[in-house]
Amino acid sequence: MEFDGMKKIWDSQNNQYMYTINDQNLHDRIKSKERKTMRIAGISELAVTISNAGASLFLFITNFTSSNPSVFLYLLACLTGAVAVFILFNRFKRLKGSQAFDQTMLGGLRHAVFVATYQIRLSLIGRWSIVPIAILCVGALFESGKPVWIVIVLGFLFLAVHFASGFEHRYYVSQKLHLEGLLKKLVQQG
Amino acid sequence: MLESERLVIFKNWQHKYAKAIFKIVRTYADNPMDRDDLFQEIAVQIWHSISAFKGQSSEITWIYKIALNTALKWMRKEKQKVYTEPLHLEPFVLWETNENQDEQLTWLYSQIYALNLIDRCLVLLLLDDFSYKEMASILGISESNVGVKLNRIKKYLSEKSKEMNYGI
Repeated sequence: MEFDGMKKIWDSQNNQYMYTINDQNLHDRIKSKERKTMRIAGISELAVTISNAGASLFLFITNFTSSNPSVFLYLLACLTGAVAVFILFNRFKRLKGSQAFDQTMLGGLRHAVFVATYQIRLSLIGRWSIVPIAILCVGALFESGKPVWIVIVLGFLFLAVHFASGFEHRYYVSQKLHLEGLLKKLVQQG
Repeated sequence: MLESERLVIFKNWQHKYAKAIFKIVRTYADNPMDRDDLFQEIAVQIWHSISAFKGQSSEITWIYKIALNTALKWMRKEKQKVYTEPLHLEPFVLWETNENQDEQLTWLYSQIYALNLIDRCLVLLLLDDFSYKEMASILGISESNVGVKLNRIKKYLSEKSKEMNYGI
């Protein structure tokens, strides 16, 4: 069959409605999805920012009011505070960057790659920021004279988190590769 | 824009372009539950897009842009979905009205569904009479690229039809 024949088959459905729409349900669903989208948007970024900022403030205040303040805890407060600011800055950059893509399919895919790249960077930052945090925590524990086994257990916990976050990172990388594959299919000739 | 004005436009678009959206939904989702989900997603995106529509392109081109981009995004999300709770507790929005569909049309949909996501868009646009120029504007690629891709897809579908004896 040539393509014209397929076109005739295709056009045969124009004379009938394949589906009917439940208008009231559709309108209710649009409204509920609208509310849900607004709630979910950027929630993980904000959660990470708020938890880091909160931890930074908490560390700073408790250390400052302590009779025996630790240099390691001051450094840790600075580091978590810096991570919070960095994530917030990147969030603004991502939101601003998102406006630069057009409504075409190419624009949509480029935007998706842009977001995936952002997520990869974020997961990488999250993964490697654990290392200095772990070092500073271990340092603070040593300084306060805690038993060695506690330090070792904590060290292992940080190591486990570091490796687990590697799975998240690899997931985002595979997602980006898939998107780049689609992008390639769209732009390549033939 | 007032909510009531938006609703009037939405209802008007829904009335005029529902058939086109049904076709997109059926091309990208292969079971009733997914079709319902994708249809809702497209409806939500069209609802959001109403205030952004400035009339630089025709309404149908705009609707296709939104719907195809949404379908592509939905396909990516659908792959990641892990079902942890009973599905579809809410009533369906879409009801299939014609269950005994033409065998050839079912075959055509299955062949389109077997194509990659980009080729599906192209064949849909071609079957719905979009010009190469319009297709290029929807996809964001050159007209010559559209032409090359479509020649390949047409050849592929013709060969498939011969395998199914539709060519005899």
